[in-house]
Amino acid sequence: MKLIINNLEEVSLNYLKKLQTVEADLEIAKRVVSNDNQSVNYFLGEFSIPFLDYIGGEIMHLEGCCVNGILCFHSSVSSEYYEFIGAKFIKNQPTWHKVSLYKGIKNKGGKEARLYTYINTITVRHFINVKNKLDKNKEKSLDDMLETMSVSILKDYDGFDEILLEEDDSKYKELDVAWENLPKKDQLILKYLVIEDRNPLEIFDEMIQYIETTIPPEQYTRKQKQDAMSLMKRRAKHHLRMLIVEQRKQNKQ
Amino acid sequence: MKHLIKDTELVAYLEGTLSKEEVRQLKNKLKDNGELSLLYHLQLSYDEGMKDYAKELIGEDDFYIGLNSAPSINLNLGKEFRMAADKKFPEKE
Repeated sequence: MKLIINNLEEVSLNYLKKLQTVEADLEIAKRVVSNDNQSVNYFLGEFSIPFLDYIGGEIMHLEGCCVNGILCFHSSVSSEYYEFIGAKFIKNQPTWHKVSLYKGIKNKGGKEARLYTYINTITVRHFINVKNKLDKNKEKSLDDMLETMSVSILKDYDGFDEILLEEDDSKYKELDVAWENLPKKDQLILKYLVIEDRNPLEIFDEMIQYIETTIPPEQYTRKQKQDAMSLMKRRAKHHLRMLIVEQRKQNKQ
Repeated sequence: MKHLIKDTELVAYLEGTLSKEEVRQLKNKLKDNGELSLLYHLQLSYDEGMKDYAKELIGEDDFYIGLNSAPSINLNLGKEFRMAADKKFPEKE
């Protein structure tokens, strides 16, 4: 039985988080803008920490701190982030203007956009500007200053948005080696979605055998099927990149 | 002259709703601006935030375990295979 709730104002934050829909995102954004304590804590914590960790370590190159054996970087940028995303402040209270601009749809074509994608995008852009200003006296181009090995690999291979194998060019040798070492499920998802440009829904039934979750296959919604295939593709690209990073590290030694 | 790149274009790229031609155009504009790194930093930070959702929908990522335990994965570079990750990960209990 599918439960349909028309009024999201009434539901708990935990339920909204699980929904993974634009409607739920809009409600979360609304609660943050109204300075609801629980929603603000979630927004500044669980929601933002993953990309803040990335920004602190990979963009700002700041010192991290060890929490339970894991190197974390979010605390090094959290104040700056709060000032950026909470602005402007009236009587020390954030008005969350940038969060209030989230409308759930992109202008072009009216397609849906998730809150996480929007906040991640404007925040990364902001911190890249901050980093560029800090580094402006250095004699490198702005693009080079921000290039890590992972970014360099994505640049070399066009973000793996198009994958070309069997090239004679020696540049592609490392891609061939990485490809050969990819697990079968990763090769398959990249073959279907990147090389053959197929519809994610079309391949779900074949790829479900490689998925190990507690959700029974017949209970995946259409949206979850699309997301699952997209996430499998992202994970496969990540594995491909890791294998190339490893080769480059070994070649340097 | 620098191209104006809207947040909405970058959001659309991350959400995979751009056509191949639109992706090419966006990359060309970023390249002209000397800002191509921005697109890939966005992609990498976006992936960080998607890990929990990915675990829920497609299960645990066992690739790290596979690297350390599967003898069949070998780059034939004459050296022992190591973890590619440059961060420390918590040990499994």
